[in-house]
Amino acid sequence: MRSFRFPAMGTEVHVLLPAGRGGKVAAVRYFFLDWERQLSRFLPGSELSQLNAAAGRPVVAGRLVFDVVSAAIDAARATNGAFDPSLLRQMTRIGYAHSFSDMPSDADPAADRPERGGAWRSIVLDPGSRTIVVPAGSALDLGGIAKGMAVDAALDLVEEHGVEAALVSAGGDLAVRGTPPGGTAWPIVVGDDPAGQVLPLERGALATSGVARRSWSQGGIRRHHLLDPSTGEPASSGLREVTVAAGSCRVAEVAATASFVLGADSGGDLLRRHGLAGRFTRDDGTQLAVGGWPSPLESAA
Amino acid sequence: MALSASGRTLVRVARPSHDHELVRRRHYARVDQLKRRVGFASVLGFAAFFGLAAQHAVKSSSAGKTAASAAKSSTASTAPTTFFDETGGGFSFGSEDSGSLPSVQQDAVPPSPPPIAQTSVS
Repeated sequence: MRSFRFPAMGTEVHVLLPAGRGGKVAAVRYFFLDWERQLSRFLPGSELSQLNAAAGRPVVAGRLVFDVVSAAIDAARATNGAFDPSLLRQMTRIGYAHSFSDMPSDADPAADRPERGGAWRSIVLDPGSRTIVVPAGSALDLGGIAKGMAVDAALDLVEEHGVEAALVSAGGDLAVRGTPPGGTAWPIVVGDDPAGQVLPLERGALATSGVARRSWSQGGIRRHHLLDPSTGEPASSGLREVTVAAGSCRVAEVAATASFVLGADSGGDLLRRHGLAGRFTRDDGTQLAVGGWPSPLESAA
Repeated sequence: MALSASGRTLVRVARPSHDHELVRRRHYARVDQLKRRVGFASVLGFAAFFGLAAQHAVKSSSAGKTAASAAKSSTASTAPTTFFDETGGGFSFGSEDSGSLPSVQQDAVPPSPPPIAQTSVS
């Protein structure tokens, strides 16, 4: 297999392709950059930014933006709001207004009171005309689902190009197709610890939601990007991270975020209810396996 | 053969019986042809009618669906969801010995962003 890495969608994209198929990576890179151009909340000219700027008014969206917004609303319904794509104002309030690489060491303190989420319930979608109405005073952040959807779509793309096996990862949210040459499963080291658990993933996707990387200080208060919609503040569920295995990266990504917000008990129920597997890592470092999550088989040397 | 009383001979040729049969057959053949044409036209007419009716029904239905979907979209938060109903095989894990491939780190630390500019000594 050949490994390729490039920056896109505010993270690093990692692509594994069979030897001799490396020529397809250019198409994958262009694909991710196109998604970023349309869906990034950090680009003022993106279609998402324009949609948010027009809150309160109907906007005819492009097909990609409409599909991602529709999927995000569907995910919010399916998790009863634990996954909430309408928390951009709350995210900005706590200091995450720019790309994480541009974050100041200590953001300015919040000027107003926290605001609960839930505005997604009032978003109007008309599939016939691809019209979206974002409620006035609210804004969308698709960061919790767009990467997963991009990973799934990128694998569809390489499959259409005749590539028989591939792995695509966007910031650790990854999915695989086919069987890697020389093996029967893809050996994935879970998390960012090189000595972490090795998971032999035969098919499907993995996604992790955690606070270790995207955390910052705001007026001396520790903040992170996984917000609790019921408070509009960073979730305090006693967890450090959650990794979920699912059939698609979009489901894994949403389930990981929702489970983190819900906590180990309710989050575990969510995963079991939908036939998913997961690993919860608590603040004290202890771990809980849910569903068919394999027991630690080995650690990477 | 009848002879006129004026002395001129008018010959009334009596048609032989097989001519009558021929005329009768031709008559019925024309009737049958007309019947077939009328029947065909009727079928076409009914087909056209039902086609128009079906088209109208589809248009009404789709218009109704559009109206319904527009109405539904305003209450999308209560609509049923299939988000977790995945197609395409789901996920699965292999055995401990799944090959000799090098491990892939799931969550590698992303590279630092490149500098915006770089000074040089002139």
